[in-house]
Amino acid sequence: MSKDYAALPRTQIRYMNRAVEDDAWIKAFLHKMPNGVLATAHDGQPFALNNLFVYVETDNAIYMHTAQVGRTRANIEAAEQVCFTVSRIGRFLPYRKPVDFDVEYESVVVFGQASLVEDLAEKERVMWMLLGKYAPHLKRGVDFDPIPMEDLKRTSVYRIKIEEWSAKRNEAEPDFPGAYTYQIDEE
Amino acid sequence: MTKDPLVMPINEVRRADRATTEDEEWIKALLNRAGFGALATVFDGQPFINSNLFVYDEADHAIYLHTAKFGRTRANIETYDRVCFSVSEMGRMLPAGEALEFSLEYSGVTVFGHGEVIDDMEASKVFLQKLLNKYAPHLKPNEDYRPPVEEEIRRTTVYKISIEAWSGKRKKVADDFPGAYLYEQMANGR
Repeated sequence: MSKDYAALPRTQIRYMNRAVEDDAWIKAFLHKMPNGVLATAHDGQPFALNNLFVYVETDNAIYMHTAQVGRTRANIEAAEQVCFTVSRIGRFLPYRKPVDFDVEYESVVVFGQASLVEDLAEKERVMWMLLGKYAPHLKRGVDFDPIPMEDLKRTSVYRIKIEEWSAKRNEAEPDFPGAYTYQIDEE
Repeated sequence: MTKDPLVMPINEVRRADRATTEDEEWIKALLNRAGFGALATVFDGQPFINSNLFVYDEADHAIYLHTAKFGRTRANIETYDRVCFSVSEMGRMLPAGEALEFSLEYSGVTVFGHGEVIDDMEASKVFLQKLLNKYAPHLKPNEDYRPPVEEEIRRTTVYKISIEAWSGKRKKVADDFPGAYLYEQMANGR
């Protein structure tokens, strides 16, 4: 092995022709995508959790919430370093050589520090931002009641302060020969 | 707090009413149909997560995937073999008048295990063929593509994740749930 890959920057992308350096593209992707996967670690064991989230550009942060107690909160309270990814796959791209067989995709990986949001007013702000993202057609005060303080105390809200990110993308021509989508629905 | 989550089993699902861990057939079906998964590794306390195509092999009770020959994933796994792998599907958003009752339909499986690099050429070939069978079931070896050759296989790293524990979680409601909608429908034009 010519390089020590573990010693490279954590955002290093090996396949440089697929790296996305465009911060505006990364931000737009984080704004629009519906779910992400949060990786935490405890005692050398990684954990991956799928979750809804909201990216708040002015805070340079990602917010999410979970139950009041549980593995995610315990891990983060013990070790704040996290990694978060958002991705989607597009069409599959067949080739004669299977080694060239490929797939369209878009993905962003974020590295940062997670902390619990304890302040109730701040927790409330995050909850409304989440609802604003996921239910843009539903309005506070019309479709939603005010959030009782007791409810805010029953949830854990996390701020992932973004330290750095990387992004990757592979997109083929619309008329790529034989391109197809993979989708199997639950029976 | 009555229980310390740090000492609970790693695959403990807090929402027992949504756990599907006991339904192994359901878990296997989701692992078989999911288009991609997220692999979490760790290095020096820093978690890493990336998305990958994969194959679930029931007979081996393992997940196989591959990456570039060298890179972060391989370096991490060669140093720390503990991994976590997750697949999920997202269904409809489920509105509620109380903001914190707002919910969604989903299915998810989380696998815990240890990762290892597969050096064996035959095992790597078997994996690549299974990967092609999963993702390109309509394409046939020797007709639509030629089978992988050794020189090509050496340019990639194949991993086996031996499954030690898993958990499943699911929420699904009646089709006529009032106001249920897909995120993509409402977020269009963003």
